[in-house]
Amino acid sequence: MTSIAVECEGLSHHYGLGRLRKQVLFDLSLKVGQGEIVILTGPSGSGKTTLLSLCGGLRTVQEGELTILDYNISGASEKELYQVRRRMGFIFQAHNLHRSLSAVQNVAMGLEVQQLLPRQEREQQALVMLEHIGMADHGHKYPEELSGGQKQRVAIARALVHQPKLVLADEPTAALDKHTGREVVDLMSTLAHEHGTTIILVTHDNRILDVADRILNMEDGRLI
Amino acid sequence: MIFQTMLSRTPIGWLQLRRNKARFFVALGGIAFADLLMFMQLGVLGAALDTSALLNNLLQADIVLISPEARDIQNSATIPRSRLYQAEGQPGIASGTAMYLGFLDWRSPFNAERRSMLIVGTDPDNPGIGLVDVQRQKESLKRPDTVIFDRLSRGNYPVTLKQLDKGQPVTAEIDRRTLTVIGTFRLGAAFGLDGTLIGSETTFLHLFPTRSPKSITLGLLRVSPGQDPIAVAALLKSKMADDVDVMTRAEFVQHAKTYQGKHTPIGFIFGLGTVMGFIVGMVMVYQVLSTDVADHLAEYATFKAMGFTNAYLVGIIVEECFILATIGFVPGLIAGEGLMKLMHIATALPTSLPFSRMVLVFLLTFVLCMVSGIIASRRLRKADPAEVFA
Repeated sequence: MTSIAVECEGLSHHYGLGRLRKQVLFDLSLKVGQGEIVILTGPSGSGKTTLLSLCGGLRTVQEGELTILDYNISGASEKELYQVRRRMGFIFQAHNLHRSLSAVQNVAMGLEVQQLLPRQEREQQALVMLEHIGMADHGHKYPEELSGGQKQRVAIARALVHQPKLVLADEPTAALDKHTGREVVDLMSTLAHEHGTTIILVTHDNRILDVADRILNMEDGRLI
Repeated sequence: MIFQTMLSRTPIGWLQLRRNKARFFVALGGIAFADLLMFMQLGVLGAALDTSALLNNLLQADIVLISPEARDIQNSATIPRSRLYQAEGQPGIASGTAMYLGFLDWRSPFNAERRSMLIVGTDPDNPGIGLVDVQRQKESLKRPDTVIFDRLSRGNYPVTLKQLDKGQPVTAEIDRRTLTVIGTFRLGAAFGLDGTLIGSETTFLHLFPTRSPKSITLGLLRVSPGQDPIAVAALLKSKMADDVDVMTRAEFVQHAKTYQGKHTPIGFIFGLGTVMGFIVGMVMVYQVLSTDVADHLAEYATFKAMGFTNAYLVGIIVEECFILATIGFVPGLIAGEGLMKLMHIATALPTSLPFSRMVLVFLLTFVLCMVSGIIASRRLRKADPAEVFA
């Protein structure tokens, strides 16, 4: 494996059709090295979320080349995109934990998608992961019984439990106060450094910029 | 491999249902109600079909001669008695006997209730009915205007039965004629038939002065030992003129059931009722499942983003269907059985619940849930993983 986690070349993207068609990304080129923590910032509508969802294999590439973890996903089929996504971790703005699953069960879902371990072992590993981030006592609680910061920690555990090489995070601190936001970001960077995980993080939050190895600024669909 | 993954997956469907108790119970209630409706409708239909052949089932005959115009026992035309004699002379036939059937209203002996009774006229020495009570009372039945009474008849006869059980005859009036009831037997009420009286041919002809002894309703034949009734019946059919239908006993039973099921409104009405129950259940389960899908759409989109396929999500809904069908069936079955008992008390119709009907309703429940689930799962396509990065 090369030391490049994400590489894009001449990446452009449009939304809409016909006269409503609007270009949101213009000829982007970017390289993110393995183990790097990159923060993507910029005003809303600058295209950073679109770039993130392309990197996550959540949208199909329209123009340009995009290689994720040595796999060129330009022109990849829906099925291939599912495969690529299983090798990454996602952290969302809204935690999107499943309300009917306990914290442990939610984290274990990150392992279930790999289809490698039986249920009991998945939940055991999920519990180990929660212990690791100091959430052992909350393992059997449901999301509605957890605070915003605790929920985001569970979401981070779910994204990282299968030790992905790449984690994509969209405004992970948006719903949190300053103190918990800081804790959550520190947790992400600690875990990333332990395993050499690459993180691409989209944020508006200036207070957390210091965790980044590199800060990329976007405006009007271009990197500046 | 697939089975292994099925076993190994987190039972999200169950966890979702368990977490939202109100929704779970609404769905179970809907299924139980649908099952109850189906049990009721199929129960009444089953009772109609079973009772339509009550007498047919008890006939001691291998082969039955009947008028081609006859639809069932309650609407049977007559055949010439000479046809019975002709058939008795055919090879393979051991013996035969005649049976007269007719309907009369009788006034219940101890109150003013009028009931429509089937009158069976038969030779007490060779009655052609497999009832020990007839055999036991055959000497008394030989007396004119003497009958025995079906104690399972619809209506209220406590005083009559008490007196008969003590061995005291009861007199009853039928069509301005006085009848002596000397005992009882057990047969059962049917649709459009409140009860049955059995007497001799003479008694029957007294009660129906317009009927001729030469016109019988049924000719009942026994085949010689070792003969195959089907073969003998086929031979007989070729020999008899076409003013008589020849049926084996099984055909005769089926003939009555087919008539009841297909040519009376009963089969259609209760068949439709069953379909209605099915649809009611399907609509309710669909409502619950589609609300459930809509409710979890963001979570499902997240699962898709993580790399779970659409098939995995459909699996969650299928799992919910399995659980709902299985658990919802139980209260439906219990309530259905209870209502059938109630119906038996009210109508004197036999309301047994055969195992095959339980299996049928369970399978229908299952199909109902699956169809609802499949329709509800079309909404899963709305779970767009690209939308989770908002």
